[in-house]
Amino acid sequence: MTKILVVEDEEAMRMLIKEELEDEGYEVKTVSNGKEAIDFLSSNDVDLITLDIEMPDMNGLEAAGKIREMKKDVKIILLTAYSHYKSDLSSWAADDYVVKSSDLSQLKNAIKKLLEV
Amino acid sequence: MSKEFEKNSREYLAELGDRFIKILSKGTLNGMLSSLTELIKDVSKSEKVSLYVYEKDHAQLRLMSSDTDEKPLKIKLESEKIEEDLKAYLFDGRERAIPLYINENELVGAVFMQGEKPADDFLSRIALILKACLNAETKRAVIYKLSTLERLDSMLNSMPMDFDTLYQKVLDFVVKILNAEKGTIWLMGEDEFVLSYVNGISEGEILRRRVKDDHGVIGWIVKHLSPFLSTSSKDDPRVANDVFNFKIKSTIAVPLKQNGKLIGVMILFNRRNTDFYRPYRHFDEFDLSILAGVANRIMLSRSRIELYLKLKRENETLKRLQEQSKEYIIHQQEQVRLLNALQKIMKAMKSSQDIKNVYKIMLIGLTSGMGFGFNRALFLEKDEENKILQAKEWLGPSSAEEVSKDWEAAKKRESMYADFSQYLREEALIVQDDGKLTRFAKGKNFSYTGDYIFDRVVNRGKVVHVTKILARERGREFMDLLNFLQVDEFVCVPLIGRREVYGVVILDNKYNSKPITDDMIEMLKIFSESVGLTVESIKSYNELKEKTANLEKQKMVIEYFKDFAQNVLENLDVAIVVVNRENKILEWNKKSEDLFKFSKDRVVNSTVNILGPEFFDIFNVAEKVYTVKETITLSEYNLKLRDKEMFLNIKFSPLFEKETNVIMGYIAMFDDVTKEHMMEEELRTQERLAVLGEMSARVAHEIRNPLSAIGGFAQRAIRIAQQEKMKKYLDIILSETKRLENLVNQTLEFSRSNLNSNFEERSINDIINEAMQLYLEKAKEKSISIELDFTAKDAKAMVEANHFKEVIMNLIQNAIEAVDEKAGKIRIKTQETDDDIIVEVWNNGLPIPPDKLEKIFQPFYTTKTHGTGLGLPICKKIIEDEHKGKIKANSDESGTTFIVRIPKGLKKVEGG
Repeated sequence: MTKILVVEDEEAMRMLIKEELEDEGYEVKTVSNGKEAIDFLSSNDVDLITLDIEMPDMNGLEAAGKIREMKKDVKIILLTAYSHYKSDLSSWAADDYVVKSSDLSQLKNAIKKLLEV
Repeated sequence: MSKEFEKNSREYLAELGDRFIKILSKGTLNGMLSSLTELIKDVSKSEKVSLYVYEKDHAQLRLMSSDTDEKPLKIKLESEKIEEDLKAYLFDGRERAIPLYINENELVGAVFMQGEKPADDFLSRIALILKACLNAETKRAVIYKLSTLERLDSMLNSMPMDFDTLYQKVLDFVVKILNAEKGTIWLMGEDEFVLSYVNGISEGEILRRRVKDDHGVIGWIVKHLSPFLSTSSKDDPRVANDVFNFKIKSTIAVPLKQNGKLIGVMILFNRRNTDFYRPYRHFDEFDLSILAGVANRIMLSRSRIELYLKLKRENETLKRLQEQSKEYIIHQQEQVRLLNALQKIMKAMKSSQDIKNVYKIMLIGLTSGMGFGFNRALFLEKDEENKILQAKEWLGPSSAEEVSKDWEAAKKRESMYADFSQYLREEALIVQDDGKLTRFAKGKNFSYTGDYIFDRVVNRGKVVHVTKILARERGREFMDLLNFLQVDEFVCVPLIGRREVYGVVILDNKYNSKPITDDMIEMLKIFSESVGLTVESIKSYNELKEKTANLEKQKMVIEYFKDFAQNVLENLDVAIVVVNRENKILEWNKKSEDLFKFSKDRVVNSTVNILGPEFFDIFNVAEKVYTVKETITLSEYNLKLRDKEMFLNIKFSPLFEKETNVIMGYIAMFDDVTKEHMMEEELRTQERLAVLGEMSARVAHEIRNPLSAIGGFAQRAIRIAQQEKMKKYLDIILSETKRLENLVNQTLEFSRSNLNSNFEERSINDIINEAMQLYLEKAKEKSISIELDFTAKDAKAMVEANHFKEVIMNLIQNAIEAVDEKAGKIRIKTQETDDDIIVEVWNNGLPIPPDKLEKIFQPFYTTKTHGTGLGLPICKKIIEDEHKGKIKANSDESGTTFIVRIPKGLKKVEGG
């Protein structure tokens, strides 16, 4: 089964994403910040990670960079409240970018697309 | 002891007080002691009484008073008991010698008498009285000496001011008052002390006059710098015996110090017997202290004398200087006299218009005794063309024989005039044009170019003084001139005009051979320039006359400038109003007319009140210039005039009357800064919005997460909801959440700082079509007609297509909403100019009131019941910030139009 790690600091959002993705048939693990994500990944493997950009402790972008160093092949999707990071995406370690919304279909589509490749 | 004697003693004892006072009142010691002897005689009934006083230093008794001649003057006390020593001097068996003690142990004297021994207490009182008499004597001596010091002071004050007198007189004085036999003053020479002044010492007694500074008493004083006392100098090793050949018994000496430095020593030898009784003969501490006091006084006087001499020297120097300055003053007076004469000469010259006369006046001034006093004066005129100097006039006696006659006559005429210039004027009329010298000189020429003398005079404008030496040494070089003048000293003076030398005057003293001084040369230099200018100005008088004709023309020039100034005033971009003290408007320039819409004719010569109440405040402030007397400034003053609001920078400057410095009025300057003010206001609004935007972005961001969660779970809940009602409620939650999310998105969109611009050249009509497609259905629903009017057929521009489309969509959306309630019309029109493309979106909806129209581009301002209030602000941002264009709205009864104007080629691409 495809494993997804959700890194999200807000509990409600974390829970929402987890449940929605589980409904899609993925195995979903959650952590609440970048540091925990790195700890988790040091002893576990996942196929894809969703990463909130605005988080306390470690910024999502920073976390993405660290994770990319650890796991070369893992897919990373950034989640953000802003939409203007888009153009800089190439400079990030992430594979895609999704603006947060109550409608998670955009996220689901992005995940599907990345995992097909 | 007989009863009677005892009784007598006791009676006398009772009287003793009285007697004692009587004794002391005798004054001298001898008087006192003879009274005391009388007293003893009275008591003891003795016929002969002798009274001795004890001299402790010499261990002897000295006879002070006696009725017999048989008693010795001195009785040496050699044995243990005094009585034994005295016994040897008893006259006979009746006589007894009684020592006088105080307190039974202090011996004060002894008394020899006949008969019975008086009572003991009587004797002890006699002893006390004796002691008191001796004390009184000592005091008297002290008083005497002190009073003599006072005498010394007054003597010093009246003494002539020289050192010799001072030292000698003081030495004589101190020797006398201290009863010394001899006195000396030694002054310090280069390396020795020199015997400088003596008293009571003869030439023969002096063995040496110079001693080293380590010798004897002097040596001691040099070492200790304090007073010296030797009571028995015979055996005193400190006192040398190789200086004088008299016996030195006692010595006192003091240093003579000036400003703490030793300059000499005063030494006194051997004390004389005096009127005053003392139990010893040598000098004592008291004498020494007197001597020290005297030494101080000498030195003080010495300083005074030095000061006096210094002052005297200075005084003499001053006197000498004064004499020198007297000479200088005489010299100065002569200079001043010459300057005055020069002034008078010029005055006389100026009063004459005839140039020939002017030269004459000048030459008379130079030869007159009241003027420069030269013997002869020759005037040569420059002939520029031929480069020669022509002799024109020569004044002075023509030969030695004529001198005295000529001068006497001249002097006589001079003396008739009080005013020198008047004399010169009238004398010039008398002097013949063809005097002997002039006749002799006429026709004589000197070439000046390259001439040894005239080249310097004419070409360089120098006064040249030909001295006897110069004439002798270099005479060959100007032989012609020497031969002509027949003198060996003369001076050549150029007449210097504004631009050049135009003549030369040659002056000499042929007849009295008076040397020409340097001072005179200096004076001639002044003459050269000032007279030169005077002559020239007279010469050009006629020219001036002609020039006055030109003045008329100049007047016209002045008029021209006046016009010019008026013109400047009129064309200034600042409104200028001049108001006088009566509040009357004197000046009102064109800009004032434009700005305030009052014509000049209407306001000039009226008071400021004519301008109306809107100006009251302004002119109230203006009137303060009368009190503060300085320029007053008002910045961005807000004036509302006929519903028009303007902002003015105003300056009121006081207008001073030039001579009296009184303020006559003021100038008011109005600078219209309304535009600038508006721009600033706009800028402030922008800044405020920027802050607001940032804040809302932060708030929006914080809201987004929970909003997403709410919406997400609502969606999940809908899926599992069993009841229809529950599903309906959840739908409402979901749709409201989406509305909020939309608001958040727009807020974030608006406030994002750098737009993701992707500019490309696109057909504007195409974009409008694309946008319109999205609304066709909606319009149809509401039966709204959308009309397209693409006047610009193929208008292309550099645009961020997505953003520009967003703007058009927004405008169409707004238009649809505006005409929502009735079957409305929308028209979209494009036009183009050379540089711009203009898109107008019109609808026939209700008009937007003007006050609201102003605000519709501000964020969060909405006229609609729904909507974020960010649509138009985002449009404005895209059009104005991103595309450097302009967006505005017009609205009236005929409808509302949004006009977008963007440049075809983007002027400057900003952002990413």
